[in-house]
Order: sequence, then structure tokens, then C-alpha cells
Amino acid sequence: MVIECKNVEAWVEDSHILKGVNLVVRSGEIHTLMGKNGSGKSTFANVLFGNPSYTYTGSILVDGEEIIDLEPHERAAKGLFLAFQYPVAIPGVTVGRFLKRVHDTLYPDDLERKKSFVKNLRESMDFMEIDQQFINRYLNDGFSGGEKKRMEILQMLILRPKFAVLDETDSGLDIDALKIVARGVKELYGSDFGALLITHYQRILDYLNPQHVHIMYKGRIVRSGGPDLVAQLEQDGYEWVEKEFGEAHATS
Amino acid sequence: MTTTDVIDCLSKVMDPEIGLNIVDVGLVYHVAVKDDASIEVEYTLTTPGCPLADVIEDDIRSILKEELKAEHVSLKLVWTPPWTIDFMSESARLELGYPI
Repeated sequence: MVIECKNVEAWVEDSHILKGVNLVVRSGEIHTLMGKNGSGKSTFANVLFGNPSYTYTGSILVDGEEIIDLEPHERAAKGLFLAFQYPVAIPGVTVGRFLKRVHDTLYPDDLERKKSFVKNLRESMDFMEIDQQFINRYLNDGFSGGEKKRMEILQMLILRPKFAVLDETDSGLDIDALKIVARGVKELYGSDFGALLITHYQRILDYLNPQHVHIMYKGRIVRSGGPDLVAQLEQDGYEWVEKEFGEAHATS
Repeated sequence: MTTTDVIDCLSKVMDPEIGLNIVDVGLVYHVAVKDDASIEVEYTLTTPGCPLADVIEDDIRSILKEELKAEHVSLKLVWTPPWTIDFMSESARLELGYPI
């Protein structure tokens, strides 16, 4: 699968947040999107998945097919997946019921898959070190921050997307939880899976080794490179980005 | 043709009241394949006097004849043991929001 974003712009009310984002992610690649708070990273994730709170223009192609006008569930049906930065609680809907329904909607004709759903769910929960009793709890209701993030990755393991965006899934996690989240992503990683990690921290990148790193600044990707770019950010912060790109755009 | 084939086939028959297939709901009590063209099924319904009994019976008969090319299908509606919610598969329980 190839995801191509061309000149994606986005607004919330009158605020112009994304000012032309271009990005190509292919299956088998892990990309990282970094940038200061407020640079537009989460907005980009939300626009990729069609969050109706934003207005947006540009082009998002999935294997050459335009999806920018599709509803979120239609994008999900194409194999796209977003792990929320702030997962939402849904009291009244159990984890098991939610996952079963979404899974069966995504794979309506796969009888074998449906038959092994509960077994797969239990195995994936063990793998993510989530107590199986969580199957019967209401989704994210009263979950700790770490439990919510692990639940996002569990959803990803069950739904098997072709392309996943993890929006700061590593934020607020202790090291053990971080390793478990990384384990989940590694489990899916392969020639038919691509991912975009939005993060502030090098630590998760140490586990996942993304080949491509992008820096977002004021609604644009201003620099793309390899892992050494992360090391430079850890060492020097974002000041050089501001120096290099702040002035230029202010006067243009 | 094996009993597994028959059960897979029956899991496409819906209990219209519950909205799930009759295998997951636990309505199929016994399946036997006599020779390659003859199938016996013992099944129950969630409640006696279920108004949809005829629909379910027709569905079972026609799907076995169409998909498995069964020439002879013998269906027996039984009431012992009476069906309870415990007969549902974990998958069906999840679907309906029951704990597993």
C-alpha cells in the first residue's frame, strides 16, 4: 500500500493549521513525525482519518485512489488505522463486543477469521500483557492512561491494518508499557504494513528504528531525513529548526 | 463431506430474532453425515412456539441442499435439553454484550 499526501491544508474554524503537507509512506516503512507542540502533527493525523472537526483541502491517495472525501469508517475499511492520542471511553460497550463488531465489519466474509476471533483476542491480550478480564469491561471506562494506550495497540493487532498512525501513543507511558506498545507495533511490522509514529521522544524510536524522520514546523514538513535527525533533535532541540525555517516563512 | 462442513454451512443460517447464526447461538445439538448425500441435524429453538421456526427450518434445509448438495436432509426439532443462554458460543456472548 502507498499513502500519498499532496499539499494537504487544514483549518479549525479560522485558524490555518496545516499549510501544505506532502508525505509518501509505503508498506514496509516506518516513518516518524516530530515537531514542537502546536506544529500540526495531531491535526495531520486527524485529517488523514477524516475527523469532521476540521476543514481541509489537498489530496490523500491510497494506492492511487483519492480518499480525502471519504468518511472515517470508509477509510478504516481500506485498511487505515489511527491510535488516538486521547482514547475515548465508551461506557456500555464492552471491549469484547466492540472489537468483535469492528472486526466482523472489516472482515465480513472471512469465516475462518471470525471463528478464531475469541482465541486470537485472548492471545493478543496475553501478548500485550492485558488481563483477559478486560474483555468484559466497558471500553476505556476507568482505564489508566497506560491501559488505554495498550488498548489502542490491541485494537490494531486485532484489526490488522495496512497503515497505522500512532498519535503520541508513547506519551505518558512508563518504560515497561512502552516496551509492550513497541512489541505490538513490531508484531505487525512487515512488507504489508506501514506506520507513521507521531512522537516527542527518542525512546520508542530506539525500539522501532524508523527509517524516515520528518520534522513538522508551523504546519509544514520542513525537513525529512534518516534516524540521525532524531539524534540531532534530542541534542539541540528545535531551536535550529526555528532559526532555519521560522524567519524564511515569516517573510515569505 | 464431514460434520465440520455441515456445521460451517449451518453457521450461515441466522436466528432472525437474535440476529446471530444458529451455531453460535447454540441451537444445533447434533449433526451426522450418513453417506455423502445424507445429513441429519438435531436442533432446538430459543423458545417453544418460536414464530420463526418454519423460517429457520427452511433455511437449514435449503442451504444444506444448495451448498453441500445433500440429497436427503433429515431435521429433528428437539426440546431436551431446553436451550439456555449458557449454550451460546463466546463469540455470540460478546456480540450480545454478555461477559465471557
